Amino acid sequence: MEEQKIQVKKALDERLMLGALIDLARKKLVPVHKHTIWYYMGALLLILFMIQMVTGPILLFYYKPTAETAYQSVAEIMVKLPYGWLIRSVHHWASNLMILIAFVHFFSTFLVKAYRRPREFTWLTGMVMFLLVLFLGYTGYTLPFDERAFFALNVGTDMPGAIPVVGQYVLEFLRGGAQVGAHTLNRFFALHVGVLPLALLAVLAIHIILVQMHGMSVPVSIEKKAREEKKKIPAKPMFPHFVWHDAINGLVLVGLLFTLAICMPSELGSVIDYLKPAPVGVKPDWFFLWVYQILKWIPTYVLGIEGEVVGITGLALAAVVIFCAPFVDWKSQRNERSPLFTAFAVVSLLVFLVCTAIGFFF
Amino acid sequence: MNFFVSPPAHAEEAAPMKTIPATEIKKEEAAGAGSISLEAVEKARTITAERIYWLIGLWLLILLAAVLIRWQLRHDDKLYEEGYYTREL
Repeated sequence: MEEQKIQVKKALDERLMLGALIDLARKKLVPVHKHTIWYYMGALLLILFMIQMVTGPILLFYYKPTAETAYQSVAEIMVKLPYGWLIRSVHHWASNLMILIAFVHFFSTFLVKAYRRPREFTWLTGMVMFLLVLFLGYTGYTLPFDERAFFALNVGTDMPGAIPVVGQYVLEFLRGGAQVGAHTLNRFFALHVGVLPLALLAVLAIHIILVQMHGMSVPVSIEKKAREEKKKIPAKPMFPHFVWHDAINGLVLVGLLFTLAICMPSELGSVIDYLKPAPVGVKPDWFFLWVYQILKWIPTYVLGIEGEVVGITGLALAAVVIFCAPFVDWKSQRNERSPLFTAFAVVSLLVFLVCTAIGFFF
Repeated sequence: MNFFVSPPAHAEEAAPMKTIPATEIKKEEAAGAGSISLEAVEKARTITAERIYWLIGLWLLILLAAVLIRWQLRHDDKLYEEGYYTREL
């Protein structure tokens, strides 16, 4: 029996190279220091993405993506489908938690300058995924095609319209015409269930391979301290130590997710009334509140240019600087402290937190 | 009873088919037949005692699994302290 077991193991190893994979996992070391906690965010995001990949197709079996049927099909999922309310609520909250943890992951990697050589492409793929996750959240929010979704579609697709030169084309591409309507829903549905998840999967695969290849980034301060003290940075193996920690974190996350889904199930707004004017103070979903608040504060005209154009251009420029951080933060690339980019990251974090809070409460 | 020529039993018992004219279906659709009200959706969202018990059960399972993993982790940490695993980058 024992010999047969060894033979089966040998046969599988020859075909699937399981031994090499286990060896790789055992050899991969995770640095242990005061910022180690931030390393757990990636695994949490992966767990949430897997939950979305399970709950999404279940909802897809029952969702009817036309302007006439979308609202009723979501209502049917909530009322008629056994545990439909739970599946939709888990999908809704997993998406919110995914965006929240993506923000935490983004700011933590930005602050510890995880984009330093040789991890430039890990940063770029991470940034692309961050944008995809935000866009997935926004497109998903509009699919019930209720009143909130209708106004979110109007406000959200109006914003890119302010981009100089290409704005109008982007607006019409997203809306499928000049106005929000049936074509807009079709496009957002196609983006939400087809284009964006496939793109996310492809970029995620590259991101994971890059993380495996280069390992975890150690903050400059920790590296400097280790160099000065002529000590090596302590590390623990990814497998089993960090996999077990990820498992515990994942379990707590699933508990939190179901608690939110059961205690605050996903809502469904009123049926769209196309003739009704947009209510005063209509707001986007929480993860775009900071953009909304910044644009709200900008005057109608700045130096003769439309305020919205100035705001969108400014935000786009800030995003480009963040995107290109590995190529413009030369100090960090030389493994030196980079106060300018630290200040930029701290200010970005404060702007995000303060504007979101103000947008939410006022 | 000939197996090859007799109609099957379920065919004999089946209720006669009724043809519904398309105009009738359209009238029902216009009246909102089968549409679910917001009240029904709100009712589906209500927190019930059963749901809370289910949630408590889930958290107990999570707690149990976390304790078991923690034991395993302690064992692995002991091996790490004994130098079984690589310790430095």
